[in-house]
Amino acid sequence: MKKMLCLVLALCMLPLFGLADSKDILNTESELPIVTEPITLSIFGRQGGTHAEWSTMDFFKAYQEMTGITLDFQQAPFQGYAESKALMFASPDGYPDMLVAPALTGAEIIKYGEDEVLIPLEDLLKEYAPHYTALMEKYPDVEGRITSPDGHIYALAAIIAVNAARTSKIWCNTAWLEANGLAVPATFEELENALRVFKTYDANGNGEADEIPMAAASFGEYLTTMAGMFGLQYQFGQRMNLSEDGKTLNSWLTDDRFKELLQWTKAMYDEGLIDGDMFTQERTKYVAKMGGGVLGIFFNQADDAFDSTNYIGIAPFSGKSEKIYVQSGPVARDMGTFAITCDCEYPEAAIRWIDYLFSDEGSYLMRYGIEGKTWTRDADGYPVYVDGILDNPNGSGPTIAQFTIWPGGGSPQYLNDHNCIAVTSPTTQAAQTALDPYMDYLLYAEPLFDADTNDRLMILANDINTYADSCAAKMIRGEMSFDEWDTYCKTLEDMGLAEWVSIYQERLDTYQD
Amino acid sequence: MSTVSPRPVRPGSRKIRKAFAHWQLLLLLVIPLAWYIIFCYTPMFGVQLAFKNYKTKLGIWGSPWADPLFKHFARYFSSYYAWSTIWNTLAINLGCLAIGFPAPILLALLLNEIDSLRFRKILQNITYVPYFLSIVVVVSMLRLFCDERYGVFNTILQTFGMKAIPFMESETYFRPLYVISNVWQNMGWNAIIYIAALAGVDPALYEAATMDGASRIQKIIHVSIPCILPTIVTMFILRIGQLMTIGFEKAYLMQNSLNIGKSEIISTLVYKNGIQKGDYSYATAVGLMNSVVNLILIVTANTVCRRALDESLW
Amino acid sequence: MTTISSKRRSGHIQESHGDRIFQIVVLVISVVLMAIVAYPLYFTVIASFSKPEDVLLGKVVVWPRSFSLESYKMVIGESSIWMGYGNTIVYTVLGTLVNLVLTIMIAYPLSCRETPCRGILTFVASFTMLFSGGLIPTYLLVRQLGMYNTIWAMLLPSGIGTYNMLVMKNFFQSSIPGELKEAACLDGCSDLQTLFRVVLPLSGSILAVMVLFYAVGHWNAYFNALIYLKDRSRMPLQVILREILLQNQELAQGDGTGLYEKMMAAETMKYAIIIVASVPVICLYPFVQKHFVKGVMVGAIKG
Repeated sequence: MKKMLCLVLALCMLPLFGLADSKDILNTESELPIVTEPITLSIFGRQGGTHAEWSTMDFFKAYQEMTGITLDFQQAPFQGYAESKALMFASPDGYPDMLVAPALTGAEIIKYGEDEVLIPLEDLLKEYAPHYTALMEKYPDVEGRITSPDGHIYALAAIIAVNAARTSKIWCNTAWLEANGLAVPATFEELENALRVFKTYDANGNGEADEIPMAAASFGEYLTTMAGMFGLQYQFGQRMNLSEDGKTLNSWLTDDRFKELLQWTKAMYDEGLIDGDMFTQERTKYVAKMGGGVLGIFFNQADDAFDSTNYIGIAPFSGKSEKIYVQSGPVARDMGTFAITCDCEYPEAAIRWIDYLFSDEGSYLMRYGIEGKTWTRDADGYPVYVDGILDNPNGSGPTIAQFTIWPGGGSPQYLNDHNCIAVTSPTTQAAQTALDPYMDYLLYAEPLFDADTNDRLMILANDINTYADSCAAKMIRGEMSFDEWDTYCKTLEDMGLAEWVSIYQERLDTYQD
Repeated sequence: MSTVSPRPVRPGSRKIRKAFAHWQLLLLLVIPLAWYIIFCYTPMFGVQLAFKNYKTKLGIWGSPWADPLFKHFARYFSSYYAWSTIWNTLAINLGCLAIGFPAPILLALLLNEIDSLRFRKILQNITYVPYFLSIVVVVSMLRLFCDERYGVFNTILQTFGMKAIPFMESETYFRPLYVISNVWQNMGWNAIIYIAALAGVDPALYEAATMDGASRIQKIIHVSIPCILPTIVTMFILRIGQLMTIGFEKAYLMQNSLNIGKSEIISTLVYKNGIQKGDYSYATAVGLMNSVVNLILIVTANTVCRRALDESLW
Repeated sequence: MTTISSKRRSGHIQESHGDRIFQIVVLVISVVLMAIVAYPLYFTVIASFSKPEDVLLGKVVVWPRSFSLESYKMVIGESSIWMGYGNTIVYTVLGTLVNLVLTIMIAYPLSCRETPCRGILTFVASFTMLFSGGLIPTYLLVRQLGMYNTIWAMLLPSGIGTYNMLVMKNFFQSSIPGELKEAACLDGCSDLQTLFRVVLPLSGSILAVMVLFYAVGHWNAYFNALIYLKDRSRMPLQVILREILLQNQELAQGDGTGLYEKMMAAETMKYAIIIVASVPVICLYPFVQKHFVKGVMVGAIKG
């Protein structure tokens, strides 16, 4: 009987010991190593298309030694990642301890947060994450963006404190311009003219018309860049404009300016000036086109995927709208880049693990790899890559992806003016400068909604976006006439466009109070 | 056919002993039955997910019931696309049924009329080959052949002075492409069963018809077709039962943002919401609705065929 | 059973004028049909053996141009394809074996009159053809059984094809003479001995057909692998094919300079990949062919 009692007591104590343990192992003397005795944490995340195996990356190898935390790698490949992620959450046999670069969507953060799969981080942040907390104070929008309606923070966002990393640049082939005696196009008229010249210009001299005057990775990216030139904004990350007084939202899917944009695009498409592949192509194909130098004017965030010798970043084209906007992501650009699951026995160690990466030195490790091997310090003490990385013929992104995880996006990282040389090559910086004048307006970031709203929003957004995109594509390709514009607007209204806007409007109203 | 040897009627108590006499048969059954219970029937209990709010941590049984119970079904029908996905599923299937069902029958009848044995064998074997290709391969062939710029179909069109057609990037061509490639892939294979049935027709019937002065077309109509009718009906009922179960793989692989209006079918929707977005309850609800419609269809088809043609599955 | 050749009718003697026209029409239709069915296959073959540039420029339509093995050389260098090949062979061989054993184990007892509750059991099996739990419950089950990311997930969930099982059961019932079984019984054979000594030796054709059905299924399956497997090193050929053929995956790790040219070359490499991936399974067919008519017909037709 006594034995039994002891056993029961012992069993009761187990969780308590567990809790005590998880803090006791923390190293309180210094920042690193994080733990005083070795522990293992399993991590799950998205292994980018160009990434080496995570376990072989310098960043992870070095960081495991520095922290004393061994990692059990359970990352999933880029292809079919959405499936892997959903299936990981459905796994009845336990979750990995930490999610690192898991590309969680807002809906997932809320759903799995409310399901208690992801643990709330706000208290842990206060106590164990000085660097991230400091950044949240420095960039006040971050907290609002990562806090869910129930007041908890279930996932951390990357902090991108560099404008150039949040916009899509407009790249123009200067070699083609020069060869044809053209100036850099600044207005739509000049743009059309340049595109028509590019169309007939055989740059590589192979006798084939394989040069593409204008291209975008996808129709969505095309719209993001072009819409601003027609005076359209992406408030809350959606296709909505804010009224002059900043009080009301309107969807511009039924706006005449959007119609005008589509009509212009159709005219260009009919002349063969815009790459029709943008409706269907895989991103890899677009990357190949950029690298192949067959594009005249195209959109991309940075020049890391192509040789930018003959390209410059240019300003948006004027002539269609008085007000021109450049869309940009918020400081907390990538949501859901880090989370801890309920199965993690050492949440304190895990939060310290991620927090260090948001310090200056930690961010150097994360973005540059091992000092002396892949980077050195310049005169000011800021990191620069060694030779053979940014100028690597394989492209800088794929080269860097051999030793650290940030290329491909969505990783928990802190980007500031000093540690972002890879995305802000002088050319990219210059391209950003061209956009800066158009970024000075109030832009709300995509917020987090509660689960019920998300359920409704998912249906609405899916219907509206699918329908709008497919109609837009059909109108551009001539499969649908612009005479049917009214029917198109009517259908969108029937789908609940007003309700969709009102969900965001409500959020906006709470901000105003 | 084997004959049934007469056995004396035994009292009920001996039934058990009789069963034990064949314990080896029962033993054989144990593992497969366990398989059926584990892999087919256990998941059926999982359909309760459709009426629950699935919480990963609580599992299927522990998750709370949805409130209202039909919440996920209501969500589905609140979507503007609900009916269009149902119609797309049906339309593709009706297309496959209208063209894909008679095609193998006609092929079998055609093969049956070819006098040269060698030629018949060659044709028969060539029509089998596509069946062995995987869906991934067939869809990639479609994409390669139908490419607007480099595809061979457009090359051929252009040599005849016609404009290149973006087959894969258009809603108009999605269904025809789907149906035709399906027929191309399965016609030969599905014909096997009819070929076998035709081979089983008593030659005396044809000879009698010849004596009566019937032409070959008349022999097809009056001898061949009636003889394979039972097979046709059986296959037809089975096919009706699959009206809503169009394999998701092909539609999913052929799908792109330009043909989504026609290519979004129930199963791709289930896949995207369930497996990709992790909305398990919703996906299960949509899938369940699909299964129930199927069940109704096959039972109806069976009943109708039994009444009208006196042929049925059960 | 009548064979195909015995069915050939002696109608020639008094073939009428109309019948001769009919025969010509039949031949014409057959030739056209053959051309339509065979052309895509034929084109894939000639495109794979032609110079990639010529294929892209649309110069290859009827005949191969400038014979070249360039595409095949590229395929051979693609290590992931061979890895997938290896996995697929393992899954196909083991999977077919599992299928065959399980299917016999249930089809045989269900075909025997002596089995108690035969009708109910048959219904239990057949019902699964009409209604299933669906994708998600099945997936959760596989996870729960701990088969996720193991070879078992590739073998067990597809353990029995109910339709195939019913075909085999019908075959046992209709083409194994009951007298033989009874004779074996009188000789003192147990049910198992009857199965192994009498029934299976007489069932060569149906077994061959089942091997074909199941093996083709395993060879071409990709969906289960996609959701039940995680490690790339375990992925079967079809998953790799999907990446390469439909998602241009291999381009991600290209070198930046010749990427565009490489992408164009990869387009034609696809024809060679299709050939390489499909030939083995097509080759299976001739071995089984002679059993085919017998196996399928007897098994599948009622009565």
